[in-house]
Amino acid sequence: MGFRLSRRFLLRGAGAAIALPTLEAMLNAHGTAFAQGMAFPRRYVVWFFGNGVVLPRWRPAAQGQGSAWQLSEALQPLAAHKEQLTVVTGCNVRTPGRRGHHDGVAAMMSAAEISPLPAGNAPYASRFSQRSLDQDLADVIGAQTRFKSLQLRVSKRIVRGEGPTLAFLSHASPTAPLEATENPVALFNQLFTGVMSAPNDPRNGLRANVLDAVRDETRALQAKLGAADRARLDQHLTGISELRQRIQALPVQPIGACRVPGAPSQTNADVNGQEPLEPVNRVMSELVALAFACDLTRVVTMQFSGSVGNHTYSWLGAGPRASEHALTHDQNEQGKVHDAVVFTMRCFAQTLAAMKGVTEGTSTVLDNSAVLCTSDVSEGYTHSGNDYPILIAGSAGGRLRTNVHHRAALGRNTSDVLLSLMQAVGGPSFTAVGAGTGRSTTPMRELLTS
Amino acid sequence: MRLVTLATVWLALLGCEGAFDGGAGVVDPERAAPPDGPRPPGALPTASGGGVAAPGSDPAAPTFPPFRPGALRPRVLLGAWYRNTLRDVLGAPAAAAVTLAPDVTEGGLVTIGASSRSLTATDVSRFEANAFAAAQAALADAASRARLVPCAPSGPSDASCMRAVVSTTGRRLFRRPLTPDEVSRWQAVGLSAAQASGQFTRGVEFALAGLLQSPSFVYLEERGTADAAKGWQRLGAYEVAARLSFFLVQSTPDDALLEAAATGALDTPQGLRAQAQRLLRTSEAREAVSSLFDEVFELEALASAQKSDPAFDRGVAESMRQELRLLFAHVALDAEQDFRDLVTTRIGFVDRRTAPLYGLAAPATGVQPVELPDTRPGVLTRLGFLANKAHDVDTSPTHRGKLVRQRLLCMAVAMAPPDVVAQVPPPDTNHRRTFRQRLEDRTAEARCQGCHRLMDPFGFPFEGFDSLGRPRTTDNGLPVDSTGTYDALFLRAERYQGPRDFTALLHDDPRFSRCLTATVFRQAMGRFERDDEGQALHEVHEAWKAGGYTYPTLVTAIVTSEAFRFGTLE
Repeated sequence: MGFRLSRRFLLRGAGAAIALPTLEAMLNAHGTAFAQGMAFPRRYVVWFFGNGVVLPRWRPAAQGQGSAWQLSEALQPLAAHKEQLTVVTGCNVRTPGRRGHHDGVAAMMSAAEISPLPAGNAPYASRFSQRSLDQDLADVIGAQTRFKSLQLRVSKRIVRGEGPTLAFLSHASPTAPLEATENPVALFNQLFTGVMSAPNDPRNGLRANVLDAVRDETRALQAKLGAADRARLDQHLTGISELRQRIQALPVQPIGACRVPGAPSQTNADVNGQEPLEPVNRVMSELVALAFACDLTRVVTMQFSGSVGNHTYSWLGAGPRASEHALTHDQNEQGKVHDAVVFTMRCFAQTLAAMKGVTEGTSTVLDNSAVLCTSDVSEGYTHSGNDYPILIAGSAGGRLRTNVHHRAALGRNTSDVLLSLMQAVGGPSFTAVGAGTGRSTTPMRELLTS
Repeated sequence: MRLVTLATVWLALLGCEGAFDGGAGVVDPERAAPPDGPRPPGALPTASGGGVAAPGSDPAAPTFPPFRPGALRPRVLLGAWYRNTLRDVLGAPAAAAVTLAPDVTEGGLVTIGASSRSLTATDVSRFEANAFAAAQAALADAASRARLVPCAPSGPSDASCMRAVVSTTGRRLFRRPLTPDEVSRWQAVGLSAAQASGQFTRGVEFALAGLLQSPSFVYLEERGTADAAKGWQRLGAYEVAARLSFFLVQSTPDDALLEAAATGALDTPQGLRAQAQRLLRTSEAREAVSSLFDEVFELEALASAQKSDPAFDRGVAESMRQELRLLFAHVALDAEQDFRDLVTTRIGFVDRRTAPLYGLAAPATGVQPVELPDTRPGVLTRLGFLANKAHDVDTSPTHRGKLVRQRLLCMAVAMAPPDVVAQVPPPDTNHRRTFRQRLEDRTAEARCQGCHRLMDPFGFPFEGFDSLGRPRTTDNGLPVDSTGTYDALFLRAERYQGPRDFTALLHDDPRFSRCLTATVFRQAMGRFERDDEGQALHEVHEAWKAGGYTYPTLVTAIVTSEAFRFGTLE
């Protein structure tokens, strides 16, 4: 590769403190890492679906690695990705069982319990009691990327009336839930418009100028407030500085697997009253895979379908076009719930295929990621938090074992899995996750290669 | 001592084992609101102060803890407030150019969520993008531009014209005159952009985009000044103006209101009342009332509700919601009417989609006000409520009753225990039962009844309406039963024969008017009432009662109360 990096380019890159995309000129001879010995970035993805599974049809029969285990009925759509997949069964959510759906979201995203909100005369509501783990990880691995983390949502029909817990996956603090992008076109614009363009837009300096004035006024306001509101404005100030950094960042060079995709036309508008879940998930996943290849971000949370949620699957056949959530509570409709899980796994397979489709040296974006796929309950029928459905895809650059079904000692803390993932992606500085009965200091060794 | 005993009885009757935090026997007070009216979350009735009225009795001479106003906390502008402000200050093209994210709901109201949420990196990016989009759209529109730039710039460096832009528009956006420092800051931002681009208008774009990102715009921030006599913070006239305006018309104060603040007209209850009454006559006030009760009745769910019945589609769902929104505004603002008539009025608003479901001839075009038969008293007998709070095919006395209990009487209901399968068995051909009978069979055991007896009797009166709100006389081939006992547990246990009896009882139930008082108060303040505001809330309620329970009386009683005009700092 006759690629020559200018000294000025490298210096500016370092000065702006923004991660550069993979440059082929910088790869080692094996294509497994940067020439300097630095591996490809590791990424963390949470792919979340609402309302759980039908456990007897979800659990693989045998456990072990490789040919020792086979995919269960519900996991059949993932056949093409079995070698990149690990299934963990037997774990329980250990936080107090306060409220179906709420407990599981907070447990799997923050390894902690929920904080019930004053209900007043309203339906039950809660927020997280801790920030979500993806945000802890983003502090460590995402600080240098253009987007510290990305939040995406496929089904729009989420429940917003029960507080932030059900509506959002990522929480920068318990009072700072991160709104997700729902429209693939908007995601494309956010990621690739103006980001990959070559010279600096003359407006950027002026925009930074505005943000400096906003920051000064925000600081002045913050100084006048009480402790709780000062913390709120900390989030605001962090947001201002992240935006300012992004505006001043160098344009990203389309090198290696990094390229600007064509602008998508797929939006998230309903078609004949139905949500375009499958195409939206596919297009978003393709954009995420390229965002990883361009190192625009390393942390993504993706809410495929909402907890409780009003999403419906019209193809589930005749009878009431009830929501998936309503079906889960109907004893006679568990077959349809299973069908919904199979559909969900088909969509998850799209996401894995998109990440596998982008090569990095001799590996793929998927290989260099840890993708956690889980839900808000084990089974929607009972709101149980036991024998939790957990899938992990990708090996986080070789740190996670794959093609495994590990059945943990029954009742093991789901947070142990989360800690393993934090360590695999974020390194040994993660010695504990969570709080209260959700807290874990014991990673699940069986998931890790070393 | 009697009060303590009653509270104990209340908890014992509730007794939904496993339904409360902390395990059996420990009651989460947030879920178990007392039966005697609005109360701050977390507070159980206590004998202290002796101010808690015995259930069923009128609180003739209640006593309360000493009044102290609530803490002042910055509220993030709600989406509607933000867009309406752009419309009013920058013009319609600017309002149309922005993309809003949904608000965060807490305690059932987005205004409460606005007091505790933080702005995140995502929000900051959106505010920035929206600020530039709005500024550019406004400046591309000749009429808006003329309004925003009240001077003819001599060139890109025209400092005095930039100053005029910043101070004129800034006053509307910040809801007060800008300080000299603020004027200089945004003038400098505008001038540097004007000089860099060689265009004055480009400079205005950056100055406006800056004002629209300033914390003085994006937060409704109140501090007041120390009132030595009271020991609290007294809100400034501009702060009162902003609070009043966002509460009543969901937008920034107009020039007349800012003028009233400047001249001291808002410093007296008379002046406040006059401005409140003026604002209540606007169409924006109707929209604000509609939006508030849209939240109270949880109508957003109609937008995604699905039913197998071919008579139900997106269009009819939208018409159902629109009908209720019109009804809220009508009862609140159209006539000097008791607002509690919301649950008894026979006025309805039908269009070509909803009329057939009511059994009426469809109007040729638009929405037609009609007088419905006396079998349709009030909002609880209208399609929007009945269809929204029903299953696909079956009705739901539980969901209908739960809304009445939680939202209209401000009484909490514990959630179902985690292991409960909340499913009414399907019809059995060998043992014919109505849905109501199957529900009663399913919930007969004590651990279900603890909660279901608090909800279902508030929903049984509406069994004569199916899952779309159409009248029906049979269910599963058996006659429907719309009779029941009103509030058998705590107040007078009165039998009702159907919706007419029931809604008349509800109309006069003091818990209903106190709950409405609390709901509108929360909307005004962006937070729950506190224990030590009990006195103020009681006075508001009494003033409302004395004024014939009209909605404007309730509003003016709230805005002239000390709770509205004072606050404390954390």
